Amino acid sequence: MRKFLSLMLVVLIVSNSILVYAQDYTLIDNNLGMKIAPILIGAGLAFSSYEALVSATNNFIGFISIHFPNVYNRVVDLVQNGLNQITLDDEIFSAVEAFVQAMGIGQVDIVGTAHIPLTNVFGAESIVQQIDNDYVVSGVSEYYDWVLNIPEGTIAIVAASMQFSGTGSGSMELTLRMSASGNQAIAEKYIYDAATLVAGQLYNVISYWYLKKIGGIYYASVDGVTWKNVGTSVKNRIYVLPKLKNLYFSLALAVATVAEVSISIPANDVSLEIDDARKYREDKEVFYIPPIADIGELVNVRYDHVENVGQGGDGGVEVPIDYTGILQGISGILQSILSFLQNIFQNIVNLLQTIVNTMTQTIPNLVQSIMEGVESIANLLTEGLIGDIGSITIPEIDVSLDSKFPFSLPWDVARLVGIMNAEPKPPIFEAVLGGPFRNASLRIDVSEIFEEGFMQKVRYLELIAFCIGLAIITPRLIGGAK
Amino acid sequence: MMLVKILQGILNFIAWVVNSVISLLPQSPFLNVSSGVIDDWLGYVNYFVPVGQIMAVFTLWLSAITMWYLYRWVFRFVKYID
Repeated sequence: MRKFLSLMLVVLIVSNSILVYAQDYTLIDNNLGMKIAPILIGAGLAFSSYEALVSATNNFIGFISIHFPNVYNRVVDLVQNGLNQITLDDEIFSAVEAFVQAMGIGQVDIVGTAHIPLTNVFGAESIVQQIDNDYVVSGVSEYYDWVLNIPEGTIAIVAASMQFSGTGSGSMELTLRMSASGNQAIAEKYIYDAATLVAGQLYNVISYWYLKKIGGIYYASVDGVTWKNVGTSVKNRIYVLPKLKNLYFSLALAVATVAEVSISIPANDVSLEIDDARKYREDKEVFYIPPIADIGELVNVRYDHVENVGQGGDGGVEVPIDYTGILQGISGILQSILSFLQNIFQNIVNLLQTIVNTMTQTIPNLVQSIMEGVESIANLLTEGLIGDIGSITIPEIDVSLDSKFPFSLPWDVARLVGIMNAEPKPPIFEAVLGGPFRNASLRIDVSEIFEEGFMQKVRYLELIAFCIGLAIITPRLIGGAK
Repeated sequence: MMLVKILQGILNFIAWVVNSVISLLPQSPFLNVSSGVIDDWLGYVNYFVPVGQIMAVFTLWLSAITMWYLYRWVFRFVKYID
């Protein structure tokens, strides 16, 4: 029984701990996930169910990889065919728009430049170049004023390596402005100047400043395109994403932000902004990343209301794993176990409570009765049968033992010793000599023969000799010195 | 009440028996020994030999030996029990 209770207690503690952990794990910023959701859809991701979408968004912890398997060939074909205009897929916009409307998370407002052909997105001077089989889109547009007026709460996705004209940094500026204005910026790791192939001035700005501050990194990859070493100017430390990826990535991200505002992210030739950014960092030391605006009840809106959402893109779609269902299942099981164990423990507690109540009410009365009975018996024995023990008197022995033989022997010895301990006195011998001595008297006084001091010394020597004799015979008596 | 009286009676009986038995014993023969006759001679003897002091030392020694035997008997008894 004791082992069973111990086992149940351990199971209760462990299950409760796992349950708390599971609950905490699912509490990743839902608002951030809902903000990211249209981005994911706009980027071409499809979700099989509402739960999958929620899982993908809720579990967004800073890194999302979107795969574009066919975009490389598509863009290459376009370029090789001499086309100077690339349009975004209408179905992407449709998906984003449908999602935003279904979720009710904002007005679909695909502004201007993001919803126009590519050449116009990047301005009239946009060109497509081929460099080592990579394609670079470069252009100049007027975005500076627009950046200054970015609405609060906007999620901006800064492309990995926005193509820049000159030495300026469009994405750099965008990121800085948004952060400074209380918005959230999501930046890729590297910034690269496409025109000059110089990345040294900007390469670590986002990488080292924003990477640990922003809400997440939105990353896109393209098949068939590899990283490329930029050159010697950055001592081989900087790698540039393929230009095709940058192009499509930028477009997709720009569209993805239509949940609140559509952002075009062209380049800009503003070299001074680098210094501004550095100054900002030095002044503030850190960048302020405010929390995303609360969406609230939007989380509960069903994705089922949206039809044909996210069916576009490039065809290659990675469906995120739905961890929520697993966690919910685990949580349900653990909740059941916990409830079962709680019921058992509650019953045990009730039983123990009943026992304790019975014991606390009955046992004292029983003990009281027993004590009263014992006291009655004790009184009967002491007063009636035994009586007062203190009244017993010890009778005296009238005869003295020191005079009754043989008990008197010790006292007899003591008396004899006392008799023998007489005062020493010198003997005096007196005699009357008759006959030939004519009754002459003779008197011999021993004290006149020996001086008192001499006899005293003799007695001391005799006493010492006696003590020595005792010392010699003592070992024989006590059995030692054998 | 009854038991106390019985016990008191037993004690009184034991005291009566002891007094009776002891009273039947003879008087010590050394009780009436007087030093009057030999007192002078004891003084003379003590003049040459310190009999009194020797007896005192002997008594002390005898007590020590007696205590030794008594302790040895107790120790042997304890060892026997062990």
